[in-house]
Amino acid sequence: MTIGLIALDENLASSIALRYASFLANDISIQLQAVHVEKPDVNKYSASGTGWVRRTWERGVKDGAQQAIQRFLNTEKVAVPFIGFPKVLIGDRDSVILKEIRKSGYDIFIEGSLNTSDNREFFRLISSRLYTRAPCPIMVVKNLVSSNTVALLCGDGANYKDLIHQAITILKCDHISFDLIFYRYKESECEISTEKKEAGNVLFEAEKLLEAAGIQPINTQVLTGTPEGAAQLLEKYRLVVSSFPSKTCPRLKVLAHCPSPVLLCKHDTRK
Amino acid sequence: MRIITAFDNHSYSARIVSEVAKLAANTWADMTMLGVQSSATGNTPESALANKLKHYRNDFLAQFDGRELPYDGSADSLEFKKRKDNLWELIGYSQEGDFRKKLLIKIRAGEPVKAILAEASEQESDLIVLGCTKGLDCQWNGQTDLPQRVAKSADCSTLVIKEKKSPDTITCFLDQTYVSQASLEMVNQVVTLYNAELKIIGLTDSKGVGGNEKVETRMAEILRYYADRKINAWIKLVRPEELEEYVAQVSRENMVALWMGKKSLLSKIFSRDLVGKLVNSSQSSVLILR
Repeated sequence: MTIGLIALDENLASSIALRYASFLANDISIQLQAVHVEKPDVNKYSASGTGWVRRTWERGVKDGAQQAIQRFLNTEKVAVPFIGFPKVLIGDRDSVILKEIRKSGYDIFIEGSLNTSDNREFFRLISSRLYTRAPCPIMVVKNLVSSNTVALLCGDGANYKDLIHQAITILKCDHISFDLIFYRYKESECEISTEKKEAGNVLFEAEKLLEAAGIQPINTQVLTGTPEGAAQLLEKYRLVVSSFPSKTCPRLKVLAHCPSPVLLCKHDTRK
Repeated sequence: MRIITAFDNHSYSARIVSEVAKLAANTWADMTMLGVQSSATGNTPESALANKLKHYRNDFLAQFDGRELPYDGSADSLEFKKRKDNLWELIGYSQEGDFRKKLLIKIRAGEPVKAILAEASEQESDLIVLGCTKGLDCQWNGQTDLPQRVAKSADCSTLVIKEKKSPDTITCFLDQTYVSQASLEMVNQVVTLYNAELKIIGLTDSKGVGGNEKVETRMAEILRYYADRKINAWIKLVRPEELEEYVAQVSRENMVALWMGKKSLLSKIFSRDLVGKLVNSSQSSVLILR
């Protein structure tokens, strides 16, 4: 059973993330804790004093936020296996979510991010304190994709071992199939090759890891081309799983352009 | 809902009959099948077109095989009668009677764009459907610019079906600050008709997505509308200045639906001439929503 934390706000991105989580929960064994972070108004926060005055003020803020999130969940009317009531936290969003992930040891963090023509928002997420320091995989939901195939996206320098281990741990079930894809940047139109040796040993090794877990990938391919073109080819996937990309890694742009949800796997120190 | 489908003598017209019938069956629409001939022929319409229209009517009704038929399907002594100058109507069956929906078969003579728009206006039509040749050369009855002239001049929605395989994706450009219920439903029907995926492209404003709560709220409502109908719509938000290029890019691969209602921001960005250009340059079918 995967225990995940899903961040919710009263907005479109959360609406999509919530629907996707519900869709995912139909197939994999997952339970979710919803969290909403209320950013305090700095002026009011410092003016609210100390002791019971501040505690009363914070309780008022929390109650208001709790009602807003409950209203959001009632409006969405989506069946999600929640562990309990949404948690409402006050403070800097990245810091308090990070603290919550570390404290409760969630297996995955999920949030929505709108698919826009401006990739800066995705780059901002990737370089945020929350994303860089989170100890668990992070799922960024951009759209609802109803396919049953997940792409495992490897590339030069990618930690495919952690990627495969975490993808299997979270996603292995009867209803999801996997494609193994190695991406390499090329300033030309996208090409797909089934010549695994073009990726060195990576695809052979990755296949062995999958087979050891009882999974046979449907397709094993090498994808070359521009990030925009590669992202377009990945749009058919229900989820694109990648190791957490560095700022200079070409996969970062692929993931930024990709309209499908992405799962970013972190280096697993808990193994 | 009232649908007018314009026909000429060419194969693309024959091809759209089944699609129009499915659309009519899904929406329980009143239907007008309109044949258009360029030249006046006195008291009777061109016999080739008249025969084609009778044949199209039979094909249309045959699509309801096994399903409840809301139209009169009788076929006794059908003939075109002159209603007024340059307008004939097929009679010999009950156009209204006890049947729940009307099926009118008409032929108009005259300049085709004017004839189609006149019929649409007279019938207070919600949707005009017409087929045309595939690819960049979008012809109807030998005229290269007719579909785009209809699309840009009509007051109601227009669906131009290009002679191509059914689209697997419909990319719908909606102005999310105001979208009519009728437009959302029309898109729903077209998605159902083709069993296609739906992608919704919305506009951000200068503040960007996060800065505009109104845009997000409306977009979330649109997503819920389609989710309730078991349609998983994809979304993408683009800046207004990128829109024209994005539409051009998408229209090379997918069917495009563009909302151009009077209150639409898109209608300010997209001039009517650009609608014509879109119809012409699109590789796939185009739906202009109004």
